[in-house]
Amino acid sequence: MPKVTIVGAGHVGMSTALFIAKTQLADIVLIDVLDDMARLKAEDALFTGPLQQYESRIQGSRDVSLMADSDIVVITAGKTRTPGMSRDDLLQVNTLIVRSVAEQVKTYSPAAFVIVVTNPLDAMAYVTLQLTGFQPHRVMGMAGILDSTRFQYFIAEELGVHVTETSALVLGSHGDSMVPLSRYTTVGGIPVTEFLDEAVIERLVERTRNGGSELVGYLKTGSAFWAAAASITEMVTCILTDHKRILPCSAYLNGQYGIRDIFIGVPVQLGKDGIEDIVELELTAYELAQLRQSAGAAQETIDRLKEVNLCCDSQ
Amino acid sequence: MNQVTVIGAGHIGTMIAYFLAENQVAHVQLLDVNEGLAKGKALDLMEAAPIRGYTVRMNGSHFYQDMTGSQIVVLAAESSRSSLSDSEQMTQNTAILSNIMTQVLQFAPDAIILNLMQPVDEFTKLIIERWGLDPARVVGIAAGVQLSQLIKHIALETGLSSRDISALALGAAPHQLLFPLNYMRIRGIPVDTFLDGKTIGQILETVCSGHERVSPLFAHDHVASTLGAVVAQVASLIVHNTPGIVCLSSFLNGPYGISDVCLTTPLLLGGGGVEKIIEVHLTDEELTFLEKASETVKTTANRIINGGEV
Repeated sequence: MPKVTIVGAGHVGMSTALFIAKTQLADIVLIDVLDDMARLKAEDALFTGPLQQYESRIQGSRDVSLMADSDIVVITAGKTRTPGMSRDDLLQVNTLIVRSVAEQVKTYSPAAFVIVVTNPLDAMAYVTLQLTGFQPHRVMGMAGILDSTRFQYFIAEELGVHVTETSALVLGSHGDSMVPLSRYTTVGGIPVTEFLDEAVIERLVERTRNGGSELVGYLKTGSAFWAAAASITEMVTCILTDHKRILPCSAYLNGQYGIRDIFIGVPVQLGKDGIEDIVELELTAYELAQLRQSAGAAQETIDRLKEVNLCCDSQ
Repeated sequence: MNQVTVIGAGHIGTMIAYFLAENQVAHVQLLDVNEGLAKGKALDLMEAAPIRGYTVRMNGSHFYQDMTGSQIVVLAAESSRSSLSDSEQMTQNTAILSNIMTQVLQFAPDAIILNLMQPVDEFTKLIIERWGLDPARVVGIAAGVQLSQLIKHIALETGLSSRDISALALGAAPHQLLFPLNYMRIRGIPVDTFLDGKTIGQILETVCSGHERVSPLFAHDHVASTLGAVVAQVASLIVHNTPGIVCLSSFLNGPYGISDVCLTTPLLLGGGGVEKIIEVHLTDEELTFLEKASETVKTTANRIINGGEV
C-alpha cells in the first residue's frame, strides 16, 4: 500500500487525512510538532473507519521518522498571520518551518513526491525544491485547484447549474495576483463567456480573488480548510492512480510562458511521475502580462529570502 | 431532498455537516449564534463541492427560522470551556439547551431530534419531559464513538475487516457503558472464536480508559470526526427510512426492567424515529450494571429538572 505523510495536523491536515482515508489508496501518517495533536487526530480518523467503510491505516506522531519511505509528503505545517505580524515576519517563520520539513523529507523519504501547501505557496515550493534537491517534477504546490473550485462554485451558483458541470482554470499565484482564465472556464464543456457577460464574470473573478479573505471575514479566528483539503486530495489521488488529469498546480518553470527558475500556478498533467507535463496555453497579451506580474511577485519573495540566506542549502 | 439542521457550528457541528454532505444524506442548515462561523463553515464546504461532487447544499446562518421544514434537528451546540464549577457549568448548558429548544418547537416542531448536548442521557430526558415531545422522536447520541473504537480495535487485533464486526453498547456514556460479550461478533460468529478473553478485556479497557477523564459536561473535540460520522449514519437511517439497529440513548419505560430514564440501548430506528427498543439477553451481572447506570443518570437528571434552571 502506498504511504502518504501529511506534515502539520491542523484542520487542513486532519481533513486531508479524512479525504485520503476514504479513497483507501494509501496508508496515512500525520506528523505534528505539537504535543499529542497528530496522534489524537490520527486516532480519531482511524476510529471513523468502521463508520465510513474504510480500512486505511492511519498513524500520528511527533516523531518525523514515521514518514520513512513515503510515496507522497504533503507539507501543510506553518503559521497563519496573527495580528501585529508583518508579511515578512510570517515569511521568515514559515520558511524556517518548511526548510526543516524539507530536510526531513530528503532524509526519510528521498523518493517522495512533495505537495507544498504552506503559504506563501510559490516561495515555499521553491525552498522545498532547493532544500530537498529533488527533480522539479517531484515538487509542486497546491493553490490553483482551490482557486478554481471556488470560481466553479460561484459560476454554478450564478447559473443555477450543478457544480460538477463546471470546469475552471485559475493560474498565477494564490491571492491577489491570481489569473482566472474565463476562456478556458466551461459549463458543460461550453466556455462560460457564452453564458455570462463580462461584467458578471469579472464580479465572480473578484470574489474568487478574495475567496480566502471572504472566509476569514466570516470565521474571524479560524480559517477555511475543507476546500483546501479536497484540493490536496485531488492531487494525491491523481498521482497514486496515474489518472493524468490536467490540473492547475504551482510548478517549477524553466522557460515555459517565458518564465524561468520560479514556481507559479500553471496547468500541469499530473500522474504517477508527478508533474509529467506543463501545458502551455495560448494566452492573450493581457493574460500573459498578468501571469508574468504574478511570477514577478513570487520572484520578489524569493529574492527577499535569498538576501537573508534562507533560500538555498548553503547556510 | 430532505433537510437536516445542525445547531452549533463548532468543530463537532462542522464535522457533522461534512459527513452529511460527503455521504449525500441531506441538505444541511448550519445554525450558530455566531453568524460568521455558520456562514463561513458552510461556504467552505460548498467550495469543496465542485471537487467532491456534492449534490447536497449547505447553508449557514443565525436565523432559527431557517430550520423550518427540517426532518432532523441535531443539537450540537458547544458550551464554552470556562472556569465554572461543575454545577455552574450544568446550569449554563441547561440554559443553552432551553434557548435552543424554544426555537426548535417554534420552527421545527415535527423534526426528529438528535441530541449531542452534554450530559446526553439527562438532557435527552429533559427534552422529552420539559417540552412534552414524543419519546420516539428524541434520541441521544452517546455511545457510538466508543462502539466504533471497539470495532476498530477488534479489527486491528484480529487483522479482519471492520465491516464484518458488530457490537452493542448499553448504559450511560461516557463512564458507565456495557459491551455485552455475547453480542460482539465477526460475521455473526462470536468474537471469542477469534480472540481470547484476556485480549478482549484489554481492548475494552483501552476503549473505556480513553473516555475516563472526559467530562460528561463538554463536547468531545478529540473525537469530532468519529462523532460526526456517527451522526451522519443515524441521520441516514431516518432520512432514507431504512430502519436499522443502532445503539442510542432513548426514553425507557419497561425494557430491561428500567423506567423513566434515558439510557443507551440497541433500538430500531427508522423514518419515524425510534420504532422499537430492542431487548437483548443480558447476564444478571450485566443487568445489575445497567441498573446502576440507570440510578446514576436518574440522580443527575432529577438534579437538573429540580434545579429550576429551566
